[in-house]
Amino acid sequence: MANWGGSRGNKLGYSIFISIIKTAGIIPAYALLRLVTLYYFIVPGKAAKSLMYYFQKRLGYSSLKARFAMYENFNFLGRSIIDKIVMMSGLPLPFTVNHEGGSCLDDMVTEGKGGLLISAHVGNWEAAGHLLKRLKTKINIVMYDGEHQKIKEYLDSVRERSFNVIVIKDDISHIYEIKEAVERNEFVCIHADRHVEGNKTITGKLLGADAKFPIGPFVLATTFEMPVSFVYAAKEGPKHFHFYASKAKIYPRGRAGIPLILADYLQETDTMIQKYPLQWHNYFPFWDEEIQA
Amino acid sequence: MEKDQIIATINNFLEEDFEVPSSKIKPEANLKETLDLDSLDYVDLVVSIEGNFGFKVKPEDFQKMITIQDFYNYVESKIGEKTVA
Repeated sequence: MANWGGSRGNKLGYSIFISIIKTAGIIPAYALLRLVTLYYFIVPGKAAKSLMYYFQKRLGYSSLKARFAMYENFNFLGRSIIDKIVMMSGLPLPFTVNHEGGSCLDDMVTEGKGGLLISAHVGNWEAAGHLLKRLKTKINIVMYDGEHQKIKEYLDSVRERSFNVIVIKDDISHIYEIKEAVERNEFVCIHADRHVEGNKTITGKLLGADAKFPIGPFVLATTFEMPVSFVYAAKEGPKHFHFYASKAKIYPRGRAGIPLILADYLQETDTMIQKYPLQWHNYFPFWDEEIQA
Repeated sequence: MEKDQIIATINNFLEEDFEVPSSKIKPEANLKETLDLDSLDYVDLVVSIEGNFGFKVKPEDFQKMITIQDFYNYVESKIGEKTVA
């Protein structure tokens, strides 16, 4: 199952990296990360199998190229964690950003309807949320996984964040947080390329093969009939992001709208993954044929 | 709103919005399983209830709704509260 579990990072690790970032800047932190990445490369656990499948079977890489790509993929993930710590902790931002499609989001704000921003684990999804600060509207990020919860807990003790995190819980209180955010015409951001155990899923084709996607983000879009934009933030240099946002679209209410929004999401995400293959962080069996193998 | 009307309204949006076959909508059926609800698509149910009956459901109220009959009873009691108020 392509679920989204915990990670091997911990609070001590985050503390060390924050100290380095505060005292020496982001580049020394990236340098230390190369060593940390090496450990994850040598002892990759189950992630290696899924990454090798992704690079070899879905992208057609040779075995050697796939192994190098796996190392770089781990390194990009580490960088994205460092970047999001910098962004979420309120430290001065050393990044430059190229906004593509940003005017689409400006239009959504101007129209005062808020919107649903659907993303994938391409590049730095939380950074995308942070880069939306310029829109001067409240941003709510819906998160599933333990990794984000760990960072959230740590940063809660450091200082207040610049956006609201809605964590999906068993008591469904998140439903009301999301609903109230929509009613206040705010932005709600969620990713749709991972599902957790117990999630209802829908099948779609990504990189030429069937995989399962959580239906929840698409239900949100069609329930509230709110404008939807697909957003991604990829790294194009140590200190440079490229932010993408698709033109906002409203999908038909009810189950009939779900296949339409899924098709658009898959097309946009496929394009992003093809463009930034090292920045799609999928460490679990994802495609149906991979799960069945 | 009469009880029969409440049941008809609920059954209608379960069929229309949640695509539940009418044969599966039985009072004793488990609500969560029949609707195949996951952590996010409860939102659809919350919005449907609010849109059809005009009241907000508290998150903890869902804990009490095990069967579809519980759901009918819950909506009926909430509408009753509204009428008294």
